[in-house]
Amino acid sequence: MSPDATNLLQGTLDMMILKALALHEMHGLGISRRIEQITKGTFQVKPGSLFPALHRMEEEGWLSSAWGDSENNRCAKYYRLTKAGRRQLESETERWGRISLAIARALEAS
Amino acid sequence: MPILSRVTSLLRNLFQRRRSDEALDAEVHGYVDMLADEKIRAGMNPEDARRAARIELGGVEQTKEQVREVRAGAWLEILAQDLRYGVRMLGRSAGSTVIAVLTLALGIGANTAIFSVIDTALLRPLPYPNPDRIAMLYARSPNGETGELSPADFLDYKNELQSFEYLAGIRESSFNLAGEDRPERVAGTVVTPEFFAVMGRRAQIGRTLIPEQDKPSASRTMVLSYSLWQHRFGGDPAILGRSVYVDNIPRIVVGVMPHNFQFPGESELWLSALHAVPDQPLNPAADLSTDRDSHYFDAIGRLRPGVNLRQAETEAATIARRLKQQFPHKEAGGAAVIFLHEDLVGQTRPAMLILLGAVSLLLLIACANVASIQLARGASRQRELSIRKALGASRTRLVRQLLTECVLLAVAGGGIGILLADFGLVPLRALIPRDVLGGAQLALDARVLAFTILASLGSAILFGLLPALHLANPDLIGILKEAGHGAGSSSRAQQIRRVLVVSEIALAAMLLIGAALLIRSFHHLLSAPEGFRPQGVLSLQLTLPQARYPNPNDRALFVQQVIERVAALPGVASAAAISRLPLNPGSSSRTLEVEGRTPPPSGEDSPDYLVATPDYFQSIGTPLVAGRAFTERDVSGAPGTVIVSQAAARRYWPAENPVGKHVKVGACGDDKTWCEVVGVVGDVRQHHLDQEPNPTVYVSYAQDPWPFMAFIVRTKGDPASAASAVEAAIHAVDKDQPVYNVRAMTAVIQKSVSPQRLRMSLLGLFAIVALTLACVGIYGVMAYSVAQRTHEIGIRMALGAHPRRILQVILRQGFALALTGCALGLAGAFAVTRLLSSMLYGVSPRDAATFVGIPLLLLVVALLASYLPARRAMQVDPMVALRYE
Repeated sequence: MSPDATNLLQGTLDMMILKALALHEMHGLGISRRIEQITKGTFQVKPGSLFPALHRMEEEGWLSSAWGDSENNRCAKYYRLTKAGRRQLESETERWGRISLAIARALEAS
Repeated sequence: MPILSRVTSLLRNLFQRRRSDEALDAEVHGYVDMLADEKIRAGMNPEDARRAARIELGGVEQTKEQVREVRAGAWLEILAQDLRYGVRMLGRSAGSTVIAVLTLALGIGANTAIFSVIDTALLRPLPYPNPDRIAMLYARSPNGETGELSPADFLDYKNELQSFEYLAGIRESSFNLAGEDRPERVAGTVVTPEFFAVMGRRAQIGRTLIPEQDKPSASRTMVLSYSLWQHRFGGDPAILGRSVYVDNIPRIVVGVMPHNFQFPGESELWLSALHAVPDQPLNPAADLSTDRDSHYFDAIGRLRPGVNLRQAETEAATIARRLKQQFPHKEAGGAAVIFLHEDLVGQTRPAMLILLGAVSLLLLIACANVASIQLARGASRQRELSIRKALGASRTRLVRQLLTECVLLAVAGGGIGILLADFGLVPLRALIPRDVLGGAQLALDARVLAFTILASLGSAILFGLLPALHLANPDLIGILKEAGHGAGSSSRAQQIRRVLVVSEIALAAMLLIGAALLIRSFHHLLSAPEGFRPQGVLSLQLTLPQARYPNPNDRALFVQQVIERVAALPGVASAAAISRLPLNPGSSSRTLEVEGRTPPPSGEDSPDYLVATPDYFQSIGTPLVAGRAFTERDVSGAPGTVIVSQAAARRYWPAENPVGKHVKVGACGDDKTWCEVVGVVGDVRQHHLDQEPNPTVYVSYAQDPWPFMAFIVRTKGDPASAASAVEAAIHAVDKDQPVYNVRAMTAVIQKSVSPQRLRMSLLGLFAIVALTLACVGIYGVMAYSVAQRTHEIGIRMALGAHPRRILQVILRQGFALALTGCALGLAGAFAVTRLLSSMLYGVSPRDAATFVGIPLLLLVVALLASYLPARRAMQVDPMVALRYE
């Protein structure tokens, strides 16, 4: 993603991470791949944006982390949603829905 | 709960940093490994996969740094890091750090001290409720000067002025206190009862004077100041109701004021007026309510809410005009209303502002010096900064870190500066007159300290920002390629330093010119002809209270006896009395009527009127130019005689000899008789050294015995040693008579010019410090330049250049810098020195000698400062230099 697009979508990045973790816990690379997958390749999150976001969200209390073994038996840090995180995901989803609806209406109006 | 979570993280980040860092490290490396695994699965070989993964990550350290920056408490961590690093860096080059800190300490310290003075004298509000409502009411004469009021005028104003809520009359003076153990002379004020209503302050003990209770002619009450109560009455708790003899009149103490109430001047007691207006000094018991001619006291009042100054002045001026129409012989036809604060500080404000300007220039010079040091220091750190940048530090981070160092320097400089200011306040407290400060004390209080902090931070930004911005932008590749020392320390940095030095020299030149002008002015002032010979003369003052010496003959007798006794003392050549000492500001003028001329309009150009004993002119050393001095025959009852000064002779009898002519002046001459002019004496500077002598008229003491006088004693040896003998002689005649202001006349002269001396000394001090700093600046730049060009110098010498030529080249460079600086400084001084003109005596603000001499001095000094580095350049050994890369 181009640099200014990244800045613009920091809030969106948070939401993507929350969504990616909605089903089960994952490590950093896994989250990155999952976001790529669910957006069908549109968002490719660089680790330079991912890691700061993960740590920030953990400090906010939306994620919790634990060390575990990855697929290839490597030590990796796994993240999962907390209850607060789930609530945040819900409210963000709802807010985005409202915004996109409003924009769509605005664009349709003549 | 995000807050709780963040706080927990903050604490964890602070106290378990290492563990967090290790975990982060593991996490990022883990990411790289997993990424590499992916690629291997997709078919890459392990080597390439790992490299590709690293590239895709963008750098492990960068990523870790990015995470660290968003962590909670990151800023705190970064600040701590910057501080530790800054301290280490500053310690590394301890020498230049010490110089920088001392330079800043001088600049900030000087500013703090001067700000303390300005805050106390100009900025601080007066300690009265609603002080901006208090105003003085003056009479205004046709030439615009303000003056005191007469009783009848004052009463008219009081009754008619609507703009003032209260109006009080005050007369400052000093009084004899007798009783207790010793007689003492104390400053005090006679006030009408509304005075304390005007000031709005309450007594600490008892009450203040109130109109209802201190009605004129009923009461003889007084209020004491806190310090007088403490030191003369020992803080006696039963002071209220006690009777105290003031000028031999008993008065009842009804109250004591709080310790910070001291107005006007240095008053220690406030006496209720015996009548509706303050008592007249020569005749306190007289009721002068209808007198419209004696102007001897001031009026102070509190404006009504909502009334502004202009309205009050317009109303007063209208009343003044009406009074002038009713009584045409009055001098003044106008009125002036001035806010008390303005009245107190208006005189001193220009001088203070100039001092503030000078000391700010000094701080700018100090900052320029430190900026130069920072640039020089930074040049040797180019490599380190470049590496940090390569490792991922953002430009902002580098600038922030460099600025932190600057703030450390500024804080250290400010801390030492406060100590310096504290020392500096000691002589300032002694030298600045109390009434300029409004009775308050010079101290380093919270406001001054806040100013110091602001000044320090401001300086840090001033000297730090430019070098920091310059240094944080290094040419990475170029510098990292340099094998050794920073020969690549850019010429740009040197250019900036040269600009800084030129501006330092310009500012120093301005300060030096200003100081030189004041010094020359002071010199002229001291060599002004006083009109008498002060060396070997002792002076002292005393006042004979009306109550004890009601009869003029009693006073004349007292003076005669004292003079006989004192003149008989061994070591005394002659003694005399005079109503007012020379160089004592104050006026005592009387209308002069010359026989055969039409009387001038009342009050216009009245000569000064003084009363003297026969030996006065001989004792004080004023020459007798024509006729004779007073003798024992010029006593009460004998024909009235006057002696005039040369200025009076020129004014009233141009081209004639005044001896033998007849006049009426003051107590000499009345409706039926004229007085004869019997002598002419030289002019004496009666008011200030910088004022031309006024026409003066002297009357024999025996014919007009004033109650207040000064004694002049010409001693054979040192005047001070005769002081106690003279006092004893006086007390032998009257043991209860306090004697005050016992001083040698030379001391009186010194005191009269102490404001000028203070200004000159302060500005001179700043100028010398500025010159020193500028020298250090030049030396620094030239020395650095030589060190940088050692290689080049070696080549030149190897190619045959004579060492002397090298010296010349370097000296010429230094000279060029100084010349540019001087030119700019001259231009600046040209524009600015007219601000000094009110403080100069006998010297023009564009005085040619100063404007030529100071730049020459600066050029010589600059050459000397460049000489050492130039000599070092001369001594470069080409062989060593060529090897030196």
